[in-house]
Amino acid sequence: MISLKNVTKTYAAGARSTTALRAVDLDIQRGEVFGIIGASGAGKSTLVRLINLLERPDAGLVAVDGRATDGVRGRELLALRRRIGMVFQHFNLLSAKTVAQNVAFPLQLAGERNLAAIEARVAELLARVGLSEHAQKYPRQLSGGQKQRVGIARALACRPSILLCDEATSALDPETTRSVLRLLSEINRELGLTIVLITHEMDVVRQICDRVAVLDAGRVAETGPVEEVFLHPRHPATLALVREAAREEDGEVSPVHGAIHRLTFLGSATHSPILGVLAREHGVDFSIVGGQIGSIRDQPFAQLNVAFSGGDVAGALARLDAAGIDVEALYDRSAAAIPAEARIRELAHVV
Amino acid sequence: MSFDRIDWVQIGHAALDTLAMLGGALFFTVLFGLPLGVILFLTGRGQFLQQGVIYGALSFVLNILRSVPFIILLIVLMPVTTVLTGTSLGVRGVIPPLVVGTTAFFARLVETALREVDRGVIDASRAMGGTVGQIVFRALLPEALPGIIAGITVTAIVLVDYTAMSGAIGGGGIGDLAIRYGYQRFQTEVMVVTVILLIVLVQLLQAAGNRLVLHFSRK
Repeated sequence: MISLKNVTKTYAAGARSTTALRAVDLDIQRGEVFGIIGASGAGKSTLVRLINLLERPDAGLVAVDGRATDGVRGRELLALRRRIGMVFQHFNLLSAKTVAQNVAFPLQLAGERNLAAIEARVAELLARVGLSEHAQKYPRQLSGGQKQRVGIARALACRPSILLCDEATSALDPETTRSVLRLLSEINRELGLTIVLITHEMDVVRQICDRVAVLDAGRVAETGPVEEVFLHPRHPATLALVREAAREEDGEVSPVHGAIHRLTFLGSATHSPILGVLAREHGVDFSIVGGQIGSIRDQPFAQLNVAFSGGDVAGALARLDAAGIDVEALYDRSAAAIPAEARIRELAHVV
Repeated sequence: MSFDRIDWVQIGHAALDTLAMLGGALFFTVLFGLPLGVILFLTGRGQFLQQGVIYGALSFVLNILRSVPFIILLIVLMPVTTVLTGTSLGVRGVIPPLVVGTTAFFARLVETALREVDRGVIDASRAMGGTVGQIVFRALLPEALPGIIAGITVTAIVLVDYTAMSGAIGGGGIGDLAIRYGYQRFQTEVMVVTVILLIVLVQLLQAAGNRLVLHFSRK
């Protein structure tokens, strides 16, 4: 649906220049929710603005719908942009227009003159985002979440095939973020829309994305299915984002001896009472020294760092493996305390 | 001081002349200044039609116009005015220099008002596939309307000031009366009445402007 090949973008600011993107390759499939995550300044916004040609790459190729966009100009460019909806962090609504007029705006820009058709489409969109009773209000009378719903309705007005979300939930509180993400998820399922979502929060990616690319200093650090990237981060930048999401403290040291293993349960495996079985049947003792429990999209997961001692540890590990639970050896605590930095590196290495 | 000597009919005519000069000059100032302000804004640094040369040239000319004192502009423009309106005297003879004197000022106010518009609005309009014309007329100008009205108000008040000044070189209106009677013939009461009229006019303009700004503000 969207592909970027070897894309580089540099901004010249006087004598200095900043490279926002370096040799970026990405392939986004039709109908998926694709997350692009990275710390601020990683080049996320530049990347998304290349897709609807608000920016042009210095080198490389951007293709939308199987067509290279480098030669697209004039009317063709405007038509392309109308097929791509965009939702912004700060909503970017027109303050002088009502909610209904804001949603009607892209239709008017597209040259729609049939007022009845515009009115019907606006009513349909406002019903879709749950704002029908606010049609005649002005943006300043709405809450942040409501404004973003108007932004989403507006982005959908011209029936785009792609929706770009540039930090769409970053100005919202956690509860509102969840409801806006739910709405985006529904839209993705119902309309088969491809969604490209930019964020700096792993929680957002975890909630709705199918696949994710991690951007670090203008490069794609890693890309893959969210389960894979979130549960088994390979790149330090990913690890930092995952740890931030898990609110994991740096350098926590538990006074446990013995080998620590990280067990990852995903989907139905999450509900199996496997640790008790291990204790009974293999005679191992275990202490849970860390971990997180949650869900990725609608799929439950648990990731536990467990120290096993006594009994048949090897047999227990084989049992876990057979039960479809991912096991990684982290490190042996008896080998003395390892500083947090080394631990990150080691973790990245082991995984 | 005796107010019975005042010719109220004459003052009435002068007041109407002032309003005519104000209205005419304001109309042409907005007509020329608004597009200039829009061009200044669009070609300015960091804007989506950034054009250093056009912006620099326009900015330079407007600065020159703004740096010439109005009383000198009145005199310098006399030949041009005569060509345009057939006279350099009275209401008609004063409107061209008034327009030249305030257009540059107003264009800057428009530029400033447009800069106050949330950049995101332009971004969103571009992302929606809006043409430059659509973005200007359907997004930028409506969003900047309160600021532009405030700019028109300030410009109108400057124009009242300038119309009075133009009395010095044979323009009409209240200023002309103040100079010919109040100053040259020592009729202090005429001076007092004209000053009061000017104060009332300015107060009314400001109040009307404020109301309109409030009416169109949605932020």
